[in-house]
Amino acid sequence: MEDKQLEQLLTKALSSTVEPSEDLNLIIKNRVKENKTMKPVHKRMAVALIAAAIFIMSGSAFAAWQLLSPKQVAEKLGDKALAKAFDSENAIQINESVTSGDYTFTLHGITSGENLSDFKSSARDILPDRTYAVVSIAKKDGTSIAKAGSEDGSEDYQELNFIVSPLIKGQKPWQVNIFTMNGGYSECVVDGVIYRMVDCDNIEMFADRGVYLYVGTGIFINNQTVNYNEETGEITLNENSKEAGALFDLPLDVNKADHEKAQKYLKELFPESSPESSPSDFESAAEDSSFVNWEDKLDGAVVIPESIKEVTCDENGYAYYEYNRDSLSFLLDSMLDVLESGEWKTVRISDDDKQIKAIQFSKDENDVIIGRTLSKSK
Amino acid sequence: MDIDSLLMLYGKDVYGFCLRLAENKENADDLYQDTFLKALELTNRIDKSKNPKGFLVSIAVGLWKNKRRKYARRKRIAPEVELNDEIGGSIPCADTPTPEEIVISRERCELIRNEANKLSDRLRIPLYMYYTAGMSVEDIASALKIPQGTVKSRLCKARKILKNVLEGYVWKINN
Repeated sequence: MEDKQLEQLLTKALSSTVEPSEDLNLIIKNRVKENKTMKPVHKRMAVALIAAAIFIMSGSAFAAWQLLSPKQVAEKLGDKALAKAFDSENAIQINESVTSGDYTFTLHGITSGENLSDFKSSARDILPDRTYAVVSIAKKDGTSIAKAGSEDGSEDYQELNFIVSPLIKGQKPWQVNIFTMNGGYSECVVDGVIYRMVDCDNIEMFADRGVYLYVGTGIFINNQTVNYNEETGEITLNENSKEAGALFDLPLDVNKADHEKAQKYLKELFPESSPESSPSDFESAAEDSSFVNWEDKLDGAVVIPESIKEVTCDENGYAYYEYNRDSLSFLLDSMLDVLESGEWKTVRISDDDKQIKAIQFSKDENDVIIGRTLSKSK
Repeated sequence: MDIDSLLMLYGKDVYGFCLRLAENKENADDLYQDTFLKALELTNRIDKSKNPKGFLVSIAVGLWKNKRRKYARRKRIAPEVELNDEIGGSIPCADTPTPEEIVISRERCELIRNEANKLSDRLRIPLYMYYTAGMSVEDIASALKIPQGTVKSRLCKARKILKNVLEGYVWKINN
């Protein structure tokens, strides 16, 4: 087939003539308008006072008393029911601060339960049992998060991006996070500090496993911001991250853990396998359900000579192996960590009616990874 | 740039990209909506990027990666209309004269779409950015923060895979 012909076919097949419906565009426009009108008015207060307090008080004692309480934040956002919930015994007041990069991140409090909020959303309608957390983000130097000279920082601060997400110990952060847990947030800027109220499916069911709350600059959760330890399930901040970030341990009541419910919840996210060994869809073989002893299944399999090749790498640290339309990509460093020099490890196995195929990797003394494919007839 | 201008200028391309990536209309609608809402939070960056479409598509990719489990879950809970029903018929694949050629052309297009969908995201995303969103190699590299050479190599790999599939199909109908 000629390249030109292929190009034409691909263009025809993959281009799209479908336009978004007018209704859909209207929803977006309305939501933009709603966000603008719902944004609480920014009141200017003595920034110098806050700056002084930050200067004097460091570490976890960061001037949390100067900041709004979760109840006040809920009130600012116009959610009276939630404000009441944050005032109840069920709510946990935390007030812990971490300074990272140019920012001080404070976790104020958290509460969970059914129908706690006045506001309706599709996620809340489907799963009314929610967790709400209030965090604040302030500039480390005490200046306003809004641009200097701005009377109302509500427009200017939007140049900054922050992500707040619960993470579950034992679950890969890029798989189980605010996005997958039906999360959302609303926020306001008060006295130069951003207050963000995040909500997601109730995380108390995971209380016995360990739950974190990540707060940081950026838009997404990925391996640039946090590390995940495959063996222990621990999640830690990536020290090499260019983003500022904090990872809080949430002091949830272990008695509220519900192992069965948590398993069921995770099973819905990972139906193909048990939650603890759920396969990665981030194309990382190293993240894949670790190395299983498949040697018995592969007994008698033959290495395809032409499949033996060095993996290719890109500058983002991803390596790539492909043979006969079977491809695999993974984080190079993660893979190097688990490979033993000179030993082949099976990273993927697949079978159909006729044959079993496996991809194996090995590394040499110079940390060059070689891939190969094995085949065995059934 | 305001929301009306963004939607008018880039809505179609971004929506097409979301449809390909998300595989069904409901997820695509969500991804499209979230992309624009997120983009509006980042208005200053859009203006600074001088490449609004690339910026929007890169947001869609990021959201997709973080949300795909959620999408997959919803898809399982409520199976939706197949993407092919939604857009397959609207793509002008059949511009050949005879009925037989029309059928073959349609089949080939469907085959390409199905096979493209099976590719890993590393190949699939640049492929859709290039053919569906109509982005240049340079813009894709910038949006994905990877070298242009890597984009070219991924596109080349994707094309090679699809070419093999198509050649297999041609062999099949000739025999």
